[in-house]
Amino acid sequence: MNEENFFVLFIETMQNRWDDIFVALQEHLFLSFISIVIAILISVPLGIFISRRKKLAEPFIAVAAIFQTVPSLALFGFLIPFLGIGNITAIIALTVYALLPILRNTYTGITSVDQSSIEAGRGMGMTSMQILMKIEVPLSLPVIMAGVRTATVLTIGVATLATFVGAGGLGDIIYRGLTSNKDELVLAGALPATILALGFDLILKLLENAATPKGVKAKK
Amino acid sequence: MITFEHVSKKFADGTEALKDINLHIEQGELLTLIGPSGCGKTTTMKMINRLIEPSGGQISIDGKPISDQDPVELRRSIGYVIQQIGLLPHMTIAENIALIPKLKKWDKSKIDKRVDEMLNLVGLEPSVFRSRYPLELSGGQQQRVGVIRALAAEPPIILMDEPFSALDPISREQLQDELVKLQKEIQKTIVFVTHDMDEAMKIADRIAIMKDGEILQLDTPDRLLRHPKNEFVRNFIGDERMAKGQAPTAVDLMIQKVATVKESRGLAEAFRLMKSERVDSLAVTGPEQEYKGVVTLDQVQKHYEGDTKRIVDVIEIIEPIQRNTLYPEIAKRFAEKQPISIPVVEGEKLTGLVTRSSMMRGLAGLEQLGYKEEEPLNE
Repeated sequence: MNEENFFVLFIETMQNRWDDIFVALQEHLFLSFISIVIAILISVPLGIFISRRKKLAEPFIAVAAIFQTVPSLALFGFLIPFLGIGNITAIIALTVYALLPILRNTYTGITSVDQSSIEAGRGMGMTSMQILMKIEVPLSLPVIMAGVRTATVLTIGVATLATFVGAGGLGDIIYRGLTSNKDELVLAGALPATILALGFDLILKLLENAATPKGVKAKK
Repeated sequence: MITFEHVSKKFADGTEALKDINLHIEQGELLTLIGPSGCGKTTTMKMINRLIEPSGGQISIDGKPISDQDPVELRRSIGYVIQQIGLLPHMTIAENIALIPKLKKWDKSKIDKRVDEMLNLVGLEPSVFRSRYPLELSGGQQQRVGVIRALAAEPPIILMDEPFSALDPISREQLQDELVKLQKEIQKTIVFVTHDMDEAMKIADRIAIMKDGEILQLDTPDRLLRHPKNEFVRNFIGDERMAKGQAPTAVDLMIQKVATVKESRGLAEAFRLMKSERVDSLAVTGPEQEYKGVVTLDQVQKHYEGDTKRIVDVIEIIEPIQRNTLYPEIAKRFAEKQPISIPVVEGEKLTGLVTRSSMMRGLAGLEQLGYKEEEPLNE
């Protein structure tokens, strides 16, 4: 294959199929975003909970880790008999996938907060809730954000498989390219997915920095 | 003010931390709890703000049992200073100090005023320190903030859990002095846990000596020294006293950084070492740091021509003293034999050197300098 030809072909594909690609990109974003939000809503409180009851921490993290080890394609397939095809199935699968990094980082973040700060807070008369909101969460936020970042990049990648449960996304474009043996079409789906993942990685990296308390960064 | 009546504590694992503690702490007094580790001093203190609950007995403040009070409210009326300081690293110094007043919903202008007042109290310039973060401060400064944070909400009682023991010796002395001065002004009821007898003697109105979950003796520092109740108290005060203060021993009077040379080395090397370390004698040691003798500049110069001579040939034996040798004995040695210095050994090993100037420094209660400040030495 002539390289220049392929490049021209790719540009043409992008131009001709832009509407399709744009729709797929929106679906992709939608699926990833919803899944991550749900995963955060589950994992962060759960992570805080298991940091209070350390005996439960291992089993919970182990379960999340087992989910993670199931090959992503198999997980999608596994859910179809129960939930049929469609967005819901895709979102559940993606959420399950995103749980572990956030859960583990929340747990690690909260448990690694300096105990002397907590003891001082408790001894001075802060309630458990005040200790959580004013000490533990602010100090572990950078670690939690790092978990969210990992999960986001992962989810954007795995979301390309949502096409197999009929939930659309950039996977549609890639799959079409594969079945019709058009490499330029595969690339037209894969490239936006990659850019999306890298873009989110960057944005979340900035957020992570912003979440690091000033006084902690000031460490000489 | 604070009363313990038959207070006991048994932990879940069956250890009996406290047995029948009866204690009355007066308003405005600084009481130290002291004893060997595991004696129950910290447990006793932490019961006052209900960080630990007693298994039996009752604690009351101003006649009201604390078990009837809400722990959170109770703690807000009791200042708390801990060894690890525990400033919140993500908050500025001002925010740290304002923490409890804020929880108590003081209004902003009152809090601001209070923060400045507190910073001034410990000599930290508000305009400089308000907006700093804890990690930008030295340990001593951080603990000053720790202390004023505990004072900020004007609690009548302050608990201090070995607050100065993690600081360097100079900061520790300074903070002890400041606390004594501060206490004269603020007249709070302070319960202070320590394991350092010197500290207790210096700051306390009364000292409670604890052992195995019991208070052995509770008295003023002076009465404790004059009338120790039993052998343990005597030893506890005595041992600690020996370390510093009353009867200085070789350990207090010696420099620890000694320029040494191995006995098998040549004279030229000894000469070079004396020049580079700017000393006129070297301690001679064997392979295991065991003390062998002293070699002086005079001897080295006298024998320098003999190429083959080694240190072992010109060594001068000055009889060493032990680490616990008392000052009068050391002074006598200097007076009688006029040595340049006297080596201090532990067993066979050389651990230091008493020189005339190090003895003076030790007697004056000053920190010992190295024989030369800049470098860690020898070997």
